[in-house]
Amino acid sequence: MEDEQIVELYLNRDESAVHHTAEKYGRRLYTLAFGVVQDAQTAEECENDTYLEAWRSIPPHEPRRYLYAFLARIARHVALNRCRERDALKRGGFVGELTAELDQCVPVSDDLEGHLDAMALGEAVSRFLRSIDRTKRDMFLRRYWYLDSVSAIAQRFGCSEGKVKTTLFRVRGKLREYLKQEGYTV
Amino acid sequence: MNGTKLFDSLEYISPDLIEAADEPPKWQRVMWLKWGGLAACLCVITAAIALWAPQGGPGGPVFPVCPSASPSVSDGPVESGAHPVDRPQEPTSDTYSSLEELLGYLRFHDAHSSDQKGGAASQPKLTGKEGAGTDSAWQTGRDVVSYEGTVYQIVKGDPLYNEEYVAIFHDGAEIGRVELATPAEALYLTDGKLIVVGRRQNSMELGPEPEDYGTAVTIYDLSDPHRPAQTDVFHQRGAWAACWVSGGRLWLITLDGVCACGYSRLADLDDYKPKLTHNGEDIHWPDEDIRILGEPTRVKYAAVSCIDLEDSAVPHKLACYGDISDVQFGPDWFALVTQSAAEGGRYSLQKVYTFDGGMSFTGKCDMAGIFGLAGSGKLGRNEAAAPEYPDVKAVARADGIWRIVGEYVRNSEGNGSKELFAVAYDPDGPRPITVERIRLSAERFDVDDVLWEEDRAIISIGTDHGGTLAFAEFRGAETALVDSGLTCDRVQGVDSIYWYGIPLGQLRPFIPLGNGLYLRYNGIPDGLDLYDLSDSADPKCLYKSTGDIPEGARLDFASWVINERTVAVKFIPEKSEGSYYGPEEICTWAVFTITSDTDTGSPVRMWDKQFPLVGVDPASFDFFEPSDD
Repeated sequence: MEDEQIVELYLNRDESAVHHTAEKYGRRLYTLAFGVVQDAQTAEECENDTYLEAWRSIPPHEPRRYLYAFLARIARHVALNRCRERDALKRGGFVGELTAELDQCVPVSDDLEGHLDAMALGEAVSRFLRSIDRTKRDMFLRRYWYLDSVSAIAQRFGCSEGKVKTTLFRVRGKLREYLKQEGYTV
Repeated sequence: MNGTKLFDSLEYISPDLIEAADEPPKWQRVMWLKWGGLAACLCVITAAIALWAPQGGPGGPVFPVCPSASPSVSDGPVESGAHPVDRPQEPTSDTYSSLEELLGYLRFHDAHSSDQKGGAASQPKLTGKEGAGTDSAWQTGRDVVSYEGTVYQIVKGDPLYNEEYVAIFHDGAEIGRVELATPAEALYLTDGKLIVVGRRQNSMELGPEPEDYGTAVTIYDLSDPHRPAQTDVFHQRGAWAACWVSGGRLWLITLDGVCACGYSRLADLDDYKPKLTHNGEDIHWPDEDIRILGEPTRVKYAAVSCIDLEDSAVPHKLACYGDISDVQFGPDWFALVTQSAAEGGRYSLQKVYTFDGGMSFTGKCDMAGIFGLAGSGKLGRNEAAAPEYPDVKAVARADGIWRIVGEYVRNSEGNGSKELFAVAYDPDGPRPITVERIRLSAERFDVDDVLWEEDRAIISIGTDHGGTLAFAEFRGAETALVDSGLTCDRVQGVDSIYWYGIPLGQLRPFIPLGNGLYLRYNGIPDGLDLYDLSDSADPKCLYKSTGDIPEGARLDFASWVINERTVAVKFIPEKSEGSYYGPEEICTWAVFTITSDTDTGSPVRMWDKQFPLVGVDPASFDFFEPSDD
């Protein structure tokens, strides 16, 4: 079934929308969640929570042309929240590790923090990503959006882990420069 | 700004970039062609060699290669070095010999703490096994019962004000009320007695005393059916969890000890000891009626009492302290599943403690021992759960043998995988445990529901593409699993559904008719499909519903089996969808009959009828009366 038809089912409050969503994207959403939470049961719960949240969010949202991205964003958010709850207990962990990597992209100062919202920042990062090579862009997104491990990215792109690390390091550096130019710095 | 903020802002990355990053990279497609071509060449060469040397070449006989996903993996009887079974005579805890010892330890090792949020030990779930036993007197609670022409029905008023009472009807007219001090959970009727089970909870009206938090069982004498006379009141400390009547006795399970957040309420540990009163008098709960299960990390207990409805005595009672994650029960047994939550970097796998009708301990199944795993361990840096673990989904008992069905989770394999398992445990047998484990044809699945029968379990399974069925066959202490491969709509069973805290009952996908025939809700549900499951190895779908009921209408899961060929299922009132009992005074029921009439080509015939919503017992409905149209 086409995305547009599935969204139409949501808009009509037809519960079969969830069934069709699961059939078309269930596997990918589960994989995304599993990559974050690393537990089959928890990943399933995240997947189900994604459907519930999609049911609540459509309408008002009408993601006819980007349904998967819409769902994936929810799944990522849900899975990260699970992970953060867990990390709060474990004191540090996966999410902490990734945010520490991204710390390198942004200046230390907090001066502008109050004036910037996440959406504007997200748009700026999107613009930056469009300006770089496709492979580098995908590697960056696989690491920081899909939260793949370095080894999984290396496998996916058929290169060494060292190359992935180097590429990510360089992209982070370029992103830092870009954000500076965009005014995200002192 | 910091890395966390940047990380969070990635949620707002353009959707097209996200989609693009999830596409297989180009090199993968190229590599697939390259390796695929190479594999094809190898196949051609292999075939040529096979033709050239049909009697066995230099490599010896060629066997078919087993796929990595083996369709059936049977573990056979367990002779593990670990001790998967504790016989009844064993203590249930090696660490604590008394409740005082346990509470003394937990007083300093478990508390609310501002730096520990979320993810703590969850409240246990409960799974009643309606119809799991052969005891015909087994009844779960209802909201309407009738006795000698008089109907008693729990009427739900405004839930905000706990406005609730049992209304008494005769000939459809309300003739009186039994006012309730607390919300009623269920009604039971036995030997001229009406039993009302309700939960008591802290509130402004009741006062903050611990005695006000618990479950009340009130018994009324129906010598004069129009004027029920209260004879006994039992009160048990703890939150209502389950109750049922079997063999003239009422079983009551309450849970207590932990907050909703999962941590022990340690303000006063003395409040978290079992307490039962009868007409205001304390019933002594001695130490021998208390058991500690393993090494609890929380003050959490299930109190189970058995009230004889004939003489209002309490012949058996038991309180079990442990990390209880699931309570399963049947007419004359219950089982407690314990498992410590994966927190603080450690996990412990499930154990199933089993008890019989006399509340005697009948043994423990250590699920880790059964599958040859370590019972507890430390989580790795990025691990949320053990690398491999069994997850018990359903327990039942028949002829003294315990049966367990569940999912075996492997997180260590790629994106995680699951197998289905079944265990038979005979506490008295020479070979106490047999276990079978299979990998289903569906790559991903969930056990949605288990329907227990005399010698098998029908397992409803949800997959990516709908549902399927599997069967666990039991012969004495032996078990075997069958993957039917049959596809059907996915229907998830729910153990207890609530409306504003009021229990409405259970959802079960199957309605057994007898003689191997079953009606099953379709996924919507707007119809019933007909299945012949008499042979587990060859189950058949005889009829798949297609718009049997009026367009736009939906079936409720409240069903009434009239006879072996007929079932009535309530409609969800269209106008009050979202609320259960709307302002309507009538409710429509769909009546499904299995016919032998092949003229229409449909073995299931349906018509609908309307009945009053209150003041009548569905048991007295005349479903066969011709409808008005």
